[in-house]
Amino acid sequence: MKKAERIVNGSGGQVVFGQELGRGGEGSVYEVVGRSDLVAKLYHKPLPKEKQEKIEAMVRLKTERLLRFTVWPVDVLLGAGRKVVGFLMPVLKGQEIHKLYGPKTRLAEFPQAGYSFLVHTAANLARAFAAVHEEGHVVGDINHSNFYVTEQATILMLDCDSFQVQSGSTRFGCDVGIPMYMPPELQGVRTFRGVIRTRNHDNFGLAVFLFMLLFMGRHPFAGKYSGSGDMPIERAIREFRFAYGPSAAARQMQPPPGALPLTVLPPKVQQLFARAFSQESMSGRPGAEEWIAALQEMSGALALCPRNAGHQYPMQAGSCPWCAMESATGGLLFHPTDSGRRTAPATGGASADAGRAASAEAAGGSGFQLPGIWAQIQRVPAPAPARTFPEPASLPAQLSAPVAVYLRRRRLRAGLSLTSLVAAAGVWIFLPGYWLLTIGALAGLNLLLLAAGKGRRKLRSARAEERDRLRAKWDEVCRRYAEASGSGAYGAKLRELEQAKREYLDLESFRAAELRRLEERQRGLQVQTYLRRNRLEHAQLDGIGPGRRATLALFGIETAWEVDAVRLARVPGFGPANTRLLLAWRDRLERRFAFDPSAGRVPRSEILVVERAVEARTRDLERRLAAGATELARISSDIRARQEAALREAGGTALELAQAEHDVEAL
Amino acid sequence: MFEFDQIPFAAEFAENPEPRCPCILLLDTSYSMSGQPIQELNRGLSSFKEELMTDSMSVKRVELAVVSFGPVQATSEFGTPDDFYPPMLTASGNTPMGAAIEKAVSMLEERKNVYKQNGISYYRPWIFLITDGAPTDDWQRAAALVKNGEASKSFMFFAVGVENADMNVLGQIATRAPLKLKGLRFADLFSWLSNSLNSVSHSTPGDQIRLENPASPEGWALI
Repeated sequence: MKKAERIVNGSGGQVVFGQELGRGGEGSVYEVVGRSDLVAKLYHKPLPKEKQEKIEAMVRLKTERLLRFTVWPVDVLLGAGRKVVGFLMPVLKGQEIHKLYGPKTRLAEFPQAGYSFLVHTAANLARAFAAVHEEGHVVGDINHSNFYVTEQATILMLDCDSFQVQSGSTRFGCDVGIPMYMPPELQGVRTFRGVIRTRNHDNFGLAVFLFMLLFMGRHPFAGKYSGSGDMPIERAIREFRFAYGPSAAARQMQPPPGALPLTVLPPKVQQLFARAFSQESMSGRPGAEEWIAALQEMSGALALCPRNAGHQYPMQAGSCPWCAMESATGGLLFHPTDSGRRTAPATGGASADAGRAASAEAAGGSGFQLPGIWAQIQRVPAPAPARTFPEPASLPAQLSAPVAVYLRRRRLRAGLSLTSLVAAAGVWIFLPGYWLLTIGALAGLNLLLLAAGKGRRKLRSARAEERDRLRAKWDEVCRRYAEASGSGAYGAKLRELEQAKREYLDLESFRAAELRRLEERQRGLQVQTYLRRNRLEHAQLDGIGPGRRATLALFGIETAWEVDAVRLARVPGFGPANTRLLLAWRDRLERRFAFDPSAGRVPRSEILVVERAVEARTRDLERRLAAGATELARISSDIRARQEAALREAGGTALELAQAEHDVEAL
Repeated sequence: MFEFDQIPFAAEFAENPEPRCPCILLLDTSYSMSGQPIQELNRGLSSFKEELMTDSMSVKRVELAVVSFGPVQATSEFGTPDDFYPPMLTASGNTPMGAAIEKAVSMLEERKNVYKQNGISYYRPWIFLITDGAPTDDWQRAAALVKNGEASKSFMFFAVGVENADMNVLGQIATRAPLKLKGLRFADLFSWLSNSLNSVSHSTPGDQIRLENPASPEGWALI
């Protein structure tokens, strides 16, 4: 606006403005010609006297220390009548803090930032507050756009002209504030005009931002409320409903599902949060200095997740909370930095690798090492191969006792019968007069013997019945054995694990292929845009006059993109010569097209879709492979137990069956 | 210690726990919209996405859904602008506006429940109706839902009429005065909507937002 007007700095030198860098509600920020280290903020409207004095005072109050943490006004900008119309300040570096604490934007904007970076940033934010407080000022308007984070995790505060500034005995107020970052005592305030802001107010906002940095962007007062109705953040703040605190449950609050539990942090930091958000200590919240000490200590006590080097966490957590959270939510919190771990060689040196895996486990980690895991799977004994059983009938067997007794008695009866026959014959020869008697006796005796021999049929059918029962049992046992031995469960599981291993080792190339596919598509889109920009009506094409071009347009062929043989064939009266001409034109354009990798950058969000899917698949495969050895061993020992039980039963049954067969045959 | 249960919707909220401002676009795709109106509407939708994407807070906080009618269908489910792919709407059928409004209100209720389950705070939702006709179904119940919703502050309902829209019926449905689009200035309308959502997403849930007057001489609407 005031660019036409002559504007000078505090020492009277003219300031020339370059490009507008940003535009806000009360002013715009411009480049300053000749000063790459400074920018100028110019207000849209004339400033009231008090605001002019505030800026003049701030320029006087600038210190080395403030300038390390803020873009503090370093010089005034004066317009007509030496009225303050703006000020000069250092160039802002970095990005808005919410892009760091929100995982989704962090992955895109701060891809290298791990938890350690977040803890460092938190400590630096506390340092920035400490600097402002020690100079006697209050930040006041704490919000997600007023803190910038650089790639070195340092903080720069902006919008300093809204700070509450203390100049000797004069206090310049802060008139603004966003309720969701304001302490309970300032909730429901109708206007901040005239409200004296204190460090203790700031300390609440500081704690909220530290919390959001350490808790993946979660607001400390956004939780699950078990009461009825809504629980907006401001009301939760007013009613001290810190969702993670020890008294959260008593206040009907609990942390959102899948959020980091407070207990993961070092006890000192936990206590600071509890104090910052509690009713009891609302008049004495932890100050910036206390936070600096606790956070510094915390950043020195981070452990590295053995499974994913992108995960750092407070040592006292015991196991990696990020792995658990990522696996429960399916979201991605940090970039998996060593995706190469998947392609580590799986064969060879298995014992050394197994040793390494064992030591990783001994170190208390849950590290996944494929070679060690695979060696364990391979150590699981396979079930014994199936044996063929001999046919029981072919086994040597003795007769059973009842059959043996019966047969002995039968021989005796046969002897008696023979003897009686011989005797009868003797009587008949030597005492012919008694033959009748003899025949009678003989018949009687043999009838008796016959009656005695009647038991044979009964015995035989009993034994045959027994044999059939045993045969059935034998068949059943054989079936059970064969079923156990032939069970595909072991082989199937092993194949499944092998498949999982193959897939695991392929993940890296899968990921690369997916990313390539995205790039290809991006390239395709660029070609399309480029061809679409080349309109037929402007093309230098001799022989295709305006009339023809109008016809082509009617058939939807207006740019090089639509030029193709199929479409052209549909245009009536458009001959092969013209078709060739047009296709050659398109061809020339395509050859001339140069891919611009910077403009054709694949959107970060699409890359993250791939990363997230690959990470989820990695976790799933690792889980299945890690459980593989145990499951395979269970299947194997189950099969062996069933085989052995069948074998034991088969032995007894075979012998009994052999005997029964023998018995039946003998009878 | 870290044994969590699987949680529906958890990924989007774990990666982005910012408060949400849900906004449903209720778009008339009846036959009378054919031709230039539907083309302009489609064009407006894609520029709408682009404009929201330029604001670092809106891209995290605004959630868009599209319900088109007729027939009534959720063309896009709730998602932040980066996940929003503007649908290619085609015009056909009649104007079941009443059913569409009922559908939008129930979608909002469902979405709010998801927010509550996941400990996500939210702004008062927006329902933004754009139509060029008059309802062909029973709209009395929908009108009652809108009145209740506005009275209980559970959402804000804006109605925009295009060309031959029945402004009288719109006035009976909406509690805020319906706006009449100047010509086919969908682009300006969506630009205004994205600006308004941007200011919402920079405020605190529950704040009163002063919206730029769309019916100013340079604006896109007539009262």
